[in-house]
Amino acid sequence: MTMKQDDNVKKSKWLCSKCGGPLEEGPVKAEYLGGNFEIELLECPVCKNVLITEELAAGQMLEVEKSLEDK
Amino acid sequence: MSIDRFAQKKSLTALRGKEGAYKSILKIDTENEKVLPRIKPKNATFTKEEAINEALRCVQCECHKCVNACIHLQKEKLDPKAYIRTINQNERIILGDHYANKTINSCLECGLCGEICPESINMAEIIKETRTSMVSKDKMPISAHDFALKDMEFTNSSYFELIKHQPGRNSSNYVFYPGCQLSASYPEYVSKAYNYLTEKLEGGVGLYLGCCGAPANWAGRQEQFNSSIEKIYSNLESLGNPVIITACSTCFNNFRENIKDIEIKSLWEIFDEKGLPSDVKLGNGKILSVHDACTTRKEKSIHESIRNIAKSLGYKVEEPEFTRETTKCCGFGGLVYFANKEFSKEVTENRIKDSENDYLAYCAMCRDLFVLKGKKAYHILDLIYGNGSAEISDMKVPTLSERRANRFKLKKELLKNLWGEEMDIKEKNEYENLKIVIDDELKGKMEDELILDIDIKKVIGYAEKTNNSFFNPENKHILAWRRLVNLTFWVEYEKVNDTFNIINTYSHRMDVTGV
Repeated sequence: MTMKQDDNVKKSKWLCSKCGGPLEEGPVKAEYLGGNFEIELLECPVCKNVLITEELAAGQMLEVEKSLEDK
Repeated sequence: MSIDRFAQKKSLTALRGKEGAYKSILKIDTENEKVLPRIKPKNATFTKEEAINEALRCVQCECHKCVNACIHLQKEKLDPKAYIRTINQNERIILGDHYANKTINSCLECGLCGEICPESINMAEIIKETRTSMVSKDKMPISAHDFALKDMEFTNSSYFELIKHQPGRNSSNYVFYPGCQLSASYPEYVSKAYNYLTEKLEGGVGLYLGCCGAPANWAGRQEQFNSSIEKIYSNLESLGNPVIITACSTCFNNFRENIKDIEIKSLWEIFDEKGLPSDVKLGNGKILSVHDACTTRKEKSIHESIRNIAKSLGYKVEEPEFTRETTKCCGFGGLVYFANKEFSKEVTENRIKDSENDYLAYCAMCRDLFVLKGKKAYHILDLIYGNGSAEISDMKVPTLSERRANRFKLKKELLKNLWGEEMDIKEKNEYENLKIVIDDELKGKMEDELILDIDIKKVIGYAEKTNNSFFNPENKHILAWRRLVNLTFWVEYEKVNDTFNIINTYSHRMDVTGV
């Protein structure tokens, strides 16, 4: 199962509060109910903080969560 | 029959019992059926048209009384037979999706089907067993009941739980158990009702604030429910096993079914027996349609008390089509309000349509759900303790966060005013005192997505402390996150002096473990 950050975010103006640097897209690991995923998400390359948008959380991510809960 | 089997390519010999005339357990209302005269063939055999017309006389005997009454069965397009088959299939799935989980978690467990069924087939009992089985096999979706179970935990924590003898006494003949939802919706009425009881009843009236365990029972969490009942038993024992007086139908029903050797009465029966407070406002002939609570559909004495109270206050009582034993659920039952919010709203709207008149409810959740959907509705305590104005029937309903705050404040105030004690919180929430501002639109979204003010405060407090957040230099907004137990909450906010204006919030269950 793959999930991807929406395109709007690529143009987003969010910066890392910790180091002030811009975010870059990169593979991030996620887990739910024993299912492991790799998602392309925006993250701070220095501090490693990952940004999840509402569109992803309430969209694809929710769908995956629901389908795993029904397994 | 053989021709029918042959035409349908079924076995001609298998399972051929009960053919010809036999006594069926099926009960059918034939009053409204038109009995058409038998079609006799003009010649020795039927023509095609004659055969079709003769076959069309068959009324296709089926009983759908429960389906006609229950919006859940209608929505799922299932009668009990098909429902039980679906549950059976869902339970047997080893590989693949448990496709009926959402259906099973959308039953209100209100028992209307069982009440209406000539054979008393009650889906509520079957659903309860099914949910218990799903939990035991670890197949119950966590998100369905997670919020309600956490709320139950809060209600049984030192933020709300209170077990006391009446001030100045060390024994109790009675104990008032107002219930967690009435305390959340109408804390001031709980105080007034408690004062009333201590004045009217002899031998001491203790007070017990807590949760009766209904969320665990509805969620199929049998172990949790049993331990909750055991705890209630031991707390009642510490009070000397007094008569329990409940002001919540769900508590009443849970205690009646699970606490066998202790007498239970409803507050409404006490009002009816002992008389109403002297300063009540009168209804002056206003018509109210009684909405009975589904959890006490079998309690005739409660139904009578409610009607007697309303009539003695000068209201005219209307009975909607589904009333007393056959009342409908308001949309909260079976935790459907949390497991399938969209459907819960349809249930509320469906019940609202049953009467043009304002509703009179005696369950806080019924009243609140009706008002949230724009129906004017009174709680019976609005008639007894309200200010008599019509605005009370569309009085604002507290949010999920306010419900918790109201419970907490009720305990704090009662402890101080009646027992002269300060509240001692063992599990204090961090960042509880953070100042946040949320507009009404976002509050509505938080209600639907079950996000509490305290979740937001915990995210902001932690982000401000650790600087773990993102920053938008254009509008100066901050986007922060925090994992709390099994959910990650995200909050977009702006800081103005010492206040945090909340722009948006959302959550997900998936744990993003990192790069």
